[in-house]
Amino acid sequence: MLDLAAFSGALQLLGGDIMAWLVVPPGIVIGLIFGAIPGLSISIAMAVFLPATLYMDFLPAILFLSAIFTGGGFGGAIPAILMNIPGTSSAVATAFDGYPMAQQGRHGEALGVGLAASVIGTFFGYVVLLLIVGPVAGWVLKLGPTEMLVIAIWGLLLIAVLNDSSFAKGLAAGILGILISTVGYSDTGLMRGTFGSMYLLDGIPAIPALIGLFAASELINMAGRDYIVTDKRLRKLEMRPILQGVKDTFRRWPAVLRGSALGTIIGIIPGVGASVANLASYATAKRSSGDPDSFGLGNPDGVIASEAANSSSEGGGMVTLLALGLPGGAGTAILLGAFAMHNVTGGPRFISESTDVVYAIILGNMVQAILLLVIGIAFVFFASSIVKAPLRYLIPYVIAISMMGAYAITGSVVGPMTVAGAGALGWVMRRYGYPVTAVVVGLLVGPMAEGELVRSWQISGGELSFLLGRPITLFLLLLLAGSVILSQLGARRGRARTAQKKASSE
Amino acid sequence: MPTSSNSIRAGSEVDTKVEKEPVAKSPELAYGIPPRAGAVVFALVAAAAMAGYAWTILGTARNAGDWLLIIPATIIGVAALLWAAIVDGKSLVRQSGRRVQFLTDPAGKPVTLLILIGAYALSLPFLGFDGGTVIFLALALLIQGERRVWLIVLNAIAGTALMVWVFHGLLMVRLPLSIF
Repeated sequence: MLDLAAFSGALQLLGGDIMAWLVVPPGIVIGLIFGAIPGLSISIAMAVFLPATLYMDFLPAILFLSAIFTGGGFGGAIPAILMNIPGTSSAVATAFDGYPMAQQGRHGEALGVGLAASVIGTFFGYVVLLLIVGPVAGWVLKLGPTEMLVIAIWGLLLIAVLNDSSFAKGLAAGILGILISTVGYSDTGLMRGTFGSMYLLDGIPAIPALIGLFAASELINMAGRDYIVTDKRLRKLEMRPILQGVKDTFRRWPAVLRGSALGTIIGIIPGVGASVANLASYATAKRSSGDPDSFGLGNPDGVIASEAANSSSEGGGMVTLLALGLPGGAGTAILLGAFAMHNVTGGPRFISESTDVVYAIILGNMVQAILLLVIGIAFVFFASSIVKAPLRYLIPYVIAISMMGAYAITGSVVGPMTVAGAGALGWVMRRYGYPVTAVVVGLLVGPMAEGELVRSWQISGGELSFLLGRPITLFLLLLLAGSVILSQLGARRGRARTAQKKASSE
Repeated sequence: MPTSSNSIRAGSEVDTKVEKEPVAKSPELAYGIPPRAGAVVFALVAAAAMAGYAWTILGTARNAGDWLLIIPATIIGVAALLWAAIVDGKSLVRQSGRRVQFLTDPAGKPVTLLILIGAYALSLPFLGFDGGTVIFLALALLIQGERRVWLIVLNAIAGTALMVWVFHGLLMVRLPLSIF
């Protein structure tokens, strides 16, 4: 499983190149800053700094970019916790419990919990990568379109699990997200829902839509309020709760390990990555909790589940990048670009011929995870000062930054217009009890679901019996059905418990 | 966490009965969802939009790949929306029968901010990010209750200059500009 000679070679490579270490701290800080600003995703940070790696050797270049990846993996949690605005799509579920914790004045604790879970998750993901990078290469190749479709449907059904308003509203919101994701050119070149506008030919940009649905609608809702934390006594800037949060996370190690394991597994699947991992992990944590009703109201386990999973999925995503040369998401796609810039091609051959380099990348990233803890604690301490900022100033600035960030993503006014439109839609949906999260999940999973559905249709010729010859698909379908039934039973039990409590209190 | 919209007060002068609303269980619900006629209207409009979109796709589709996801998704989505409309409608009727009124957040400021954000996005091609942001920041601060003119002017100009410098100068994002 582990090539000891290559492992020793990796240690020599890392020990003999001081540059490989000098680039890591700035990389983590860049990732944290970009991840923390809504609209500036990790992929933007990596893309902006990709040209800077031209003058570096291969190993420092990859470690610098992966340091941005690692820092950004947690950076997105900061605005998610402090403002209910996930800085990246991978921090969506972090906001579910992180923001209620911040509203209760437990922002320091939430940030500490998120940081520690992120650090452990990243470390866990790379440990797993170290052990399985070889064997898993063959396994991933066995996943076909039908398996990917089932995974996408599972992602969509999380909507029902995550939604607390009603199943019908959650489902409707999820479908709305899917349909929005189909706007633009189809694979066959058909223009769908563009109303003749050339700006919509590429479809509705997902990240600006996400910013609008989460950030703009939330900020609109906040209009007229004074501070994020209403109670003045709770608006404190202290290091102690952050450190306490870090300590508590280590105590909750089973939750961290569960989230990390799930995130790593999901990260391995190409095209899924952190944006689905955090939601899947959150849903699993909620379902298996003894007190599922506390989720969404400020339960640290919700933050742990999301952050451990989105960070560990980085290691999982590197499996396909290193083993197959396939990027699992935008971040690993840019890493693949860095590979190409240095005339390196990922894949089984790269692993067999340069095992020491592969191990050096993995070990370097494990050290990065530890460095993230040190740098991250200082960073979140200063970031948490946001609770002291009056909302009448914060709201206009965050909206303006989001608009500029949206322009940076799309390179046209489609981005800012999407933020405005999605913000209006999100506000109306919140007002009438529709979960905006479900729209976001639909938006993110929609393109993958459509692509895999069409491919499955083409391969099977529309024959359902085709599935009988796909044992992995059948197994995944069984898992899907099991998880839906269990979650529905759990929800019914929860409703019965609430009704019982209500009856006994009356 | 619940805001004032989660609280309920006895509404009419006749009825003093207070109906407790379920505790908010997710950030989306933190703002309360008292039964509103708008919810029924929203569900019906969204269902009509979904059905209309699917209809146009069916009319122009070249092969199954163009509608394979959209048509089944629309059928499920429309059914879910109609179901939600029925539930909301029933709840509305039940609520009006009890003559209990919900204390709701005043929607004036959010709606004004929503319109301002829309106008800001639409003005960007003409005013650029610098001109548009100066006006947006000034008006947004005004809507949010800031009345000190010097602070509004200072924030609008210095804030815009800083943000434009970070994005345009530092991050090399080629924002459309008209002043700087």
